[in-house]
Amino acid sequence: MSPLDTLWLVLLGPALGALINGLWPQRLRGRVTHGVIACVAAGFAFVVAILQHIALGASGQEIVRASYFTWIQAGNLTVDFALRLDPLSSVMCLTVTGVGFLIHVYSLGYMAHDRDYVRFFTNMNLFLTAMLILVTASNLPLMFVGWEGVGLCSYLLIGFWHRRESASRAGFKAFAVNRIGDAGFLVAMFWCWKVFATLEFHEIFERLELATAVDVRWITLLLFVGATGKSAQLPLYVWLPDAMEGPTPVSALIHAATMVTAGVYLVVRMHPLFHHPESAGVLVAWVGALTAIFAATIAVGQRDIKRVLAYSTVSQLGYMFLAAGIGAYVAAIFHLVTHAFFKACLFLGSGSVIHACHEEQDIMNMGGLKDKMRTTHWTFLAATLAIAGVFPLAGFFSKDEILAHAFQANRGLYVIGIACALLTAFYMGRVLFLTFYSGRRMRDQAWEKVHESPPSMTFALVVLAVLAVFGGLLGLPAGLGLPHFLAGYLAPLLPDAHGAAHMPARLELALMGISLALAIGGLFAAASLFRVRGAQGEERLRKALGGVHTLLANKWYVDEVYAAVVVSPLSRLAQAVSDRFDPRVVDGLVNGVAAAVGWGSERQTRTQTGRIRDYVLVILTGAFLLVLGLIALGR
Amino acid sequence: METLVFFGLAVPILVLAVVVVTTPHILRAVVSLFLALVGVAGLFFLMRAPILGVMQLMIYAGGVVVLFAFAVMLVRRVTGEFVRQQTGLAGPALVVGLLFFVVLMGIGSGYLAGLEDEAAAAGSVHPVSRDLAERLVLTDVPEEIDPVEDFSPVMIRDYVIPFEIASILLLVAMIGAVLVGHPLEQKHPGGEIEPEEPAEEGEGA
Amino acid sequence: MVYLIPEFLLVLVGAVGLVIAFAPSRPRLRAYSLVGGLTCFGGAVVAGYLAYLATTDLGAELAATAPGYLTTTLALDPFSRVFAVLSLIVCGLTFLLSKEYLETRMQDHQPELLAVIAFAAAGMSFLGSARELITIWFSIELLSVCGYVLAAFTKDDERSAEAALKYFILGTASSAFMLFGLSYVYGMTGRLDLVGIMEATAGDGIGVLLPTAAVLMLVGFGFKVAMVPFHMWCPDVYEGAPTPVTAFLSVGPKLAALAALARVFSTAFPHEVARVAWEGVLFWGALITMTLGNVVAIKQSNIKRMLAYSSIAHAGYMLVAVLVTLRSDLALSALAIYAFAYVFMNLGAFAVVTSFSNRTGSDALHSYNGLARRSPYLAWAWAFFALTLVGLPPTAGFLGKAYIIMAAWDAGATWNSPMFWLLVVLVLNSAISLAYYMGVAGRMFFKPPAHDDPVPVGGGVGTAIGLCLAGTLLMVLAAGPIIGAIQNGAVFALH
Repeated sequence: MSPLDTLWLVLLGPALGALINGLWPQRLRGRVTHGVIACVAAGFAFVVAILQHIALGASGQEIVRASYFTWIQAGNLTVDFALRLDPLSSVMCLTVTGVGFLIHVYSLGYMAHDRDYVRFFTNMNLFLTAMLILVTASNLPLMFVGWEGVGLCSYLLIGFWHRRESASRAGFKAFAVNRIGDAGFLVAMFWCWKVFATLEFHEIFERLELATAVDVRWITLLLFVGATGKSAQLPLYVWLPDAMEGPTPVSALIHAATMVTAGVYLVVRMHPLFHHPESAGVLVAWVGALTAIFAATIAVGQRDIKRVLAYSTVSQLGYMFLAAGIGAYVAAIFHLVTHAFFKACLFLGSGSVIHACHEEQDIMNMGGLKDKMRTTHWTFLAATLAIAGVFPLAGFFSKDEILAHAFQANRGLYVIGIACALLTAFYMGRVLFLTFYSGRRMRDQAWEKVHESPPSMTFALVVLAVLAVFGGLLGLPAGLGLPHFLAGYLAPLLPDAHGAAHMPARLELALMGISLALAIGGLFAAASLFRVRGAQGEERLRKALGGVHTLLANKWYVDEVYAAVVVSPLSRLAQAVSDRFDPRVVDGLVNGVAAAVGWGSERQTRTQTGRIRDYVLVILTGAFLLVLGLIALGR
Repeated sequence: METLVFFGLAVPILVLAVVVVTTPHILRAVVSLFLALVGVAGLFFLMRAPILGVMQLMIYAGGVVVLFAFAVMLVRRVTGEFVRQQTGLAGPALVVGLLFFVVLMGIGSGYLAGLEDEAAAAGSVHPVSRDLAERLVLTDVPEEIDPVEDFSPVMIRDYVIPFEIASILLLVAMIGAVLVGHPLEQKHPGGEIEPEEPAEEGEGA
Repeated sequence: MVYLIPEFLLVLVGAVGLVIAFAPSRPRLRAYSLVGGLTCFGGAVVAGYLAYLATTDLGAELAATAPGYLTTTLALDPFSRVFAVLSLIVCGLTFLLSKEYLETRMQDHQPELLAVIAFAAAGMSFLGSARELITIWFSIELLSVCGYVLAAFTKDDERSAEAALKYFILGTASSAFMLFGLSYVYGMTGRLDLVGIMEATAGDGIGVLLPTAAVLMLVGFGFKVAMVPFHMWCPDVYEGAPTPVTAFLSVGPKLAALAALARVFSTAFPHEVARVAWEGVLFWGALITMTLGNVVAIKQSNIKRMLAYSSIAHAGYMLVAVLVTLRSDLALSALAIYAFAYVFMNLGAFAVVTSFSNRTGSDALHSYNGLARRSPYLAWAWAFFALTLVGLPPTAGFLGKAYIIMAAWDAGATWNSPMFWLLVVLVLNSAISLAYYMGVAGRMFFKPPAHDDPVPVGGGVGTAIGLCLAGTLLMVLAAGPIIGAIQNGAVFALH
């Protein structure tokens, strides 16, 4: 039995894990058992993903599709519960299960003392299941199920420490903002059905000629609206920084490595539509680029280590959309994979630091941790160099590929891209030096207790750091005649697989040089400011930037603007409408009626009978207006 | 003669209807409503539809108004006070009601005028009456209608289901009337708010 | 005659209740609510079989040879039997979820309440299948009168009394409009059966009187459905009525009226002038109803009021399906599927509320704080029903909404057409509804409770919650077959 006959097997592990942990009536002896079950479940999925990957390569098939049962049947529309394995979903499965497994292992140590240990692992496994459904779905509705499933798990995990008011608030914010994006996805889906009369990916792609330019433009636009919600792009990115209220492994798995990349995956999955000349691709690229630079500037002004990383994630996702928007799908997926490695490593590293410093998250209160936490330091350093784009680490190759494509597509995008690269190097350097170098700024008592994290945590850090260092080998620049494994693998599916090969080697090298110079320049600037001076460097930076720094530290006041422009008017509108249309609010009838019994007030009785008259009058007036409207219509 | 009887019924009905909505005395309103409905039953008799008249008496004058009266008394007892009708919204209600009436009459007479034109075009001798009568009763009007003989087979053969539904309806109305009229438990004088007592009994078997 | 088994069962159950009422006792009440509930579920199976039968040749044969008293008054199509299934399920679930309420919160007259619910369910079933005006009228009146009586049941509670009176007067007023419309229709066409009305109005020269009559009828139906602006009774009555009654009122009359609305208007008024009128009214009615319901629900502090407004919003969604009955073959199945999902999820939510108020006597939202610690079963059940009511995929609520959207889309929603924007509003509305449904769930899970006393769940209402959970889950897991079954029943020509 080939692994390709049992595509569902990849879902089995996490689903069973979640079931066992969620429904086990009594807590097993030694709660670690629950964690181990979850880890085994994730590991099993990883093994299955590897086997499927190998089998797919060996079989020579491009797409393996398996339909299990008919899920929805409506008129001419049939939606099956069908899974699909192709190079793209295989790469996603590997990333999701691989990074997921490591983060599960890390969580064994990180969550060891939490009272809701079992709930945590249940949710994590549930998340993996949903994410795997998302990437292996063979049609839009099933993908949407995964899409909503990961959203739900994300909500549960952000609000995991629900005794914190801010955590449950952040969870709700994430859920609510995502619903706006989901509305876009839904409408796009119905539009697809209208145009193509199917929702299966391969059938949609076969019937592309049925779509007019308008159809393509709107479907891609609406899909992208969905993607901006899930992948935290302008203008719907606001939930992601707040999502850092969740436990750090959650931030690493969901809000850095996997779930937030679902939007990128969606765009790449639907690339035949986005590749259409009338598609919203240009918009995707520009929104991505603007998000990248916007979030990077905010990251410069943040003091909370996880928030810096969160804005960094938003920014890197912007890169991926930039790539996907200009048709460099392989580059987008490449960056998605490498980003999963180094950003997960950074988050887990920050978790390790936070763990050691007793829930301290402000980098201004850290410093000098280099010698106390050797493993964390080295892995964090490697990941920082990788994200900054230093040769020959993973981020260098993937980012360079995107920038090379941008250079060919549009110089404006390229300029934004390299500016963003410079900022990335700078803010990551700032975090690195303020946390691990620049002398300690902690109180003695706390300093004494700082310790390296347990092996279960450092194990994941080391593996991810190694991947962050060598991940670039997956996609060596084809322009220089080097093998681009990922492109070769994805070639049957993605059209641009050899796009960058058209670039002259000299230009390629020149672009690499520029990127590298900017990366090192940014790191150097950060080092000169913070490596020795620490907090004083921050003071200098603030003086140098002046008012701009205030803007950055306050995230360009976007949250405040949203609150003033969207949230509070909505809330006021709801209040106003309910004042007007809910009779109860008008004069507090609840109390009124009860009071009427108690002291039989003339006034209250009047409001009672008066109300019925009001209502009758409303009915009469309503009927009258309907008839009047009718006559007006008839004329 | 018929015209005379018609107005003899119609004018009191209208007057009583006005009393229903204007009197502050709610029981007086209910009684007026009852009388008005009896008057409408009279109109049915006048139109040689005695079965309808009887049903009007039974269902509306008998069933619904009684329910109404009980409901009013219920509120009166629960709130421990005599409910007085308020007429505060009479102005707007009158305006809207009148406008509505005018519009509906306009539409209705427009329709009748249309029929008349149609009939005139067809060269009919009796412009409206005959045609309209045909439309109203589906087939040509027999000279003599025996209400019981013609009506009963229809009612208990073709329309037995609505007939039975109506009987259930009356049954429910009766239950309602009995229920509302049934004396309150003495332990809750004046309809105190239900005390927030915990259940005296464990959950079900 | 076989066709009437569901209605017959319901009337029988009601009659038995009246007999028991002569000598009420706790064991008898218990047995009655249990056996009555089970009878209803059994009847639902039979009705389901009848619905299936109606799609087959055998069913067609039976319908062709059915006696005159059936064919004149009732439509013997699958759609009517699908709603008979719904009526029986609603009745059975209400029986179960009332059990503890009756035992703990009411002093007397408990069997009568259940009996009236059974009669109302019979009215609901009749209304779903009525095909001529007299039957429609009496069914809707039966349903209404049952509603008035039900709302008055805890008569020593002043809110219940007031709710009943309000419901009664307003209901009568709106019925008057409807009757007025019916009399116009009859006056113009001389026909009582819907098909006959359609035939009689086929030609020109109907003018503005027929649409006027249709719109006046819409007022009556709109009241039952709680379509804006005829919704104002809804929150007051829902809040005041005994909670199990509220649960019943929130699904029973509403769904039956929607089914009748779909049947009456698509069968009797498919011709240009009247059709433009009622489709126009329903379009704006649906749009405003769903939006107003959702927006106002956000700011409620009483859970029954909140659910009242949310049920107004759901009526708005379903009105979209009614709106497109003439344009899309999917519309009626969408309505039926949404109705099924709505029955389970809304009764489930009300069952949670009933169970909670049985023990605490409170319907205030803040009293739900920290319920997850006091009763995990209730809290998780609520969370599940809330997600379903919001319409999060892959829940039953999502399926329902998806079908409605597909039907509307099928009916010709193209870019920038009014229908398209209606759908956009619908999707946005389901996002808004997230705020209050999940707000309550948030209270249950994330807020500290005032005290830690557990909230035990009674056997009857617990079973009802379980059945609703099972029903919603079943619709998801076996969505294909079940929906196929409903659809087989509901894709049909109505006449």
